[in-house]
Amino acid sequence: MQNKKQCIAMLLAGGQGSRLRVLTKNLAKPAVPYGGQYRIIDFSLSNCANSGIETVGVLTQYKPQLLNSYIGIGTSWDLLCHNGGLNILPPYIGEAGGNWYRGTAHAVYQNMGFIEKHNPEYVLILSGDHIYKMDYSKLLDYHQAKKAGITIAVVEVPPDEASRFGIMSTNEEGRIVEFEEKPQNPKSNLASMGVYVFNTECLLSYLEKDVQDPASENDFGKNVIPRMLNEKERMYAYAFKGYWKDVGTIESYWKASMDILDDRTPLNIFDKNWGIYSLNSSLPPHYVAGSARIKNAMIAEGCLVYGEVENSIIFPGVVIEKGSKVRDSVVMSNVRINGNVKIEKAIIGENTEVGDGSIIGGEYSSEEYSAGGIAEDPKITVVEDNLQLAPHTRIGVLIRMKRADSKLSEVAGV
Amino acid sequence: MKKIMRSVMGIIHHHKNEKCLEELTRYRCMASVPFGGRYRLVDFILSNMVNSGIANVGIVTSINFRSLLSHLGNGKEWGLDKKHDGLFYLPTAARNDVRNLRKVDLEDLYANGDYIKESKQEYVIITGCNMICNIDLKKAMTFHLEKQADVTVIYKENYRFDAPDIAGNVFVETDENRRIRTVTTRYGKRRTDKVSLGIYVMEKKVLLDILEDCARKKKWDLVKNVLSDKEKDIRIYGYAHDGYLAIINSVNSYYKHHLDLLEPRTLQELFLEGGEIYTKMKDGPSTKYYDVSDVRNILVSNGCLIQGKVENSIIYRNVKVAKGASIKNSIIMPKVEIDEDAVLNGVILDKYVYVRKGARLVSDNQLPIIVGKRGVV
Repeated sequence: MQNKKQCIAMLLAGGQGSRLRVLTKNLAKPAVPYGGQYRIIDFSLSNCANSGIETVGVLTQYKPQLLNSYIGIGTSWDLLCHNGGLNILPPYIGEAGGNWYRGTAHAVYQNMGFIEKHNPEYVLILSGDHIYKMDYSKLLDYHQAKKAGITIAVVEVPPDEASRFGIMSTNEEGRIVEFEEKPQNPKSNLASMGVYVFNTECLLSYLEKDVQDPASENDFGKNVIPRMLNEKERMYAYAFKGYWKDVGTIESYWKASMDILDDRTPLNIFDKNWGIYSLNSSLPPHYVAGSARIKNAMIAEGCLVYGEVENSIIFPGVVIEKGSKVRDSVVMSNVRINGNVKIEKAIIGENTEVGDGSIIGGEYSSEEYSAGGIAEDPKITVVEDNLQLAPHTRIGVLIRMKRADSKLSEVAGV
Repeated sequence: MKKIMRSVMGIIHHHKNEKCLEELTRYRCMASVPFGGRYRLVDFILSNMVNSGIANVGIVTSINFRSLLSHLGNGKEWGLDKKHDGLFYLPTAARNDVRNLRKVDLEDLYANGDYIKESKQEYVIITGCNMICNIDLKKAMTFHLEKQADVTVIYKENYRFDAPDIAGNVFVETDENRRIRTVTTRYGKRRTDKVSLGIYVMEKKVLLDILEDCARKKKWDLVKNVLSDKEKDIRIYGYAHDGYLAIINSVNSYYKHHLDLLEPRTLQELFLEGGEIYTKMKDGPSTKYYDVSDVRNILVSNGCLIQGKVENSIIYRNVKVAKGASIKNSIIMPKVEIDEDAVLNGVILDKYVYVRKGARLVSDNQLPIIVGKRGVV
């Protein structure tokens, strides 16, 4: 990519991801662990590194501590370089006071100084909470070829899901003629991926206009892009072919996790030519005992497995004792699962200890908890991080519990 | 207490008998021989030093040091990429003399005397790189100071050797005060069963005096020419290491101790209970087990794709085991590919080995079969 120095990326990583509920209780959505070895933001950062983008601003806001220490100065993604590299851009105050980031566009607007300092020809706007492998240099080539003011990466989604996305209609040469944010009756199935490349001047002028508009929510999808369309800006859609997932909900997070186990998923994380990088530990290899049974599972380093694991993702440092069975589940780092535990279709948060003989998910029957006022059968059970579940705990739903205490204090279906 | 270790520098010398691991040391020195699924031999002692609080480590390289450099780099993973102190490479002074292998080659240290003199630490701990252990050197240092020893040797009692692996080791005899009166390379001469870990603690001044003396006499072996020399009247004490120890000095010991790690107790003690063992970071996904896989009692690193049957084995990173393949009692190094229906038992496959469909490689005795780097079976 000859013009790589001419493009910088602004990575939006300040989102809460409130629909991920307890998974984002203590961390921002881009920092949510995924795929046994990664955090979600690894995908966008690795894409930058692999696409030759050397300067990345990461805009953080919601509970950024873990995210900040995780990405550091970008060394893990080879984003360490002179005059550029990875920069964390939090909200700040100046002489005239300051603001929290009000929306995606406002977050970038607040960091115009950063963009101007690097003075690139193009600015790539990325989202830190998507799972995909994409070569941004091809997007940029397309953008240049079309002489566009903005190019929006789009992906085909199933027609019945289209109403969850920003939907584009294009003419035969790819120019965007219509854009609707979460339409009731979508006219096409080309969904915006939240990946945009702007001519820098174009970006700055529309951000300026947007911030002047008191009615604006300062959001790219809701405000800036419709305004550009109104003003007849040259807007093109770039069709991305490949796996792309916005893990907005517990359901989609779980599904995206199971996708990793399926070889038919077009997201090959074993591909050496487009590696997904992450901050790694120096844990020893994992141990699989004679008593263990493993079928269709991903197991990370530092695990000790004495029990049975099927269709599951096991993060680093997990212990699964003898007689325990884990099925269709995601078990995050350093979880300890004691003996004779049954876990089915569940997500277990980091550092939680599950007491002997506990049953989590799967075995749930709605009658048992009818007193708790649950209307429907839950689909996926989520157990928060850093809990100590007493022996013989039974959980069938998303729960929030007091630390070191296994009595239910909040019960809610997913 | 950690502060005391700031006045200690570490020196790791290279193993003089680089032929002892045969094919495995053809492209690498002893220090960078893979061990334990993702580590190199040097990682253990280097991590022990760092975890004990040593911040200045010099590592004497053998001639064959390319893979060692690429593994250690500037010592970042060990926290040794520092402005002050850190990791230093000390080029060896001479080719190995196979007829007269030095235990600790003081000629190498003498050649790097500048580095030793310029380092601001008062004490020095000299070690080899072929011991697998997780040891707190701070305790040995405290012991050394308490005993007001000239030299403290760390030893292990009741270490079990297979007969062929005894040769080449150093043994000590201690009295009730842990004072060492005999240092010998001969096992059983006086029924001694205390084997030296090859870790020596001394004041830097003592080392520099020894080096000067050696330079005059042109006798360069710390063990044979200095410590075993009774006329020198050096106060030598022995500090006992109680934890796990593996001495790697032959294919047999390399293979045997590798498989030791399949004992969960050993694994816990070596990696999870003491200080962390650091190594060069590599990216990659976790290991994937398919429906058709059948695995038990194995140690597996990240990035593997496993569809076959694997038992009692150590699998390094990015290994592929195809459907129907069967692996037993083996050590499989990174990026090895094992095709369908291959049968392996008692083998060590070095990096990038390819095992063809249906191939069969079975060791018929206690010793493993080694297939060198990029070999095809």
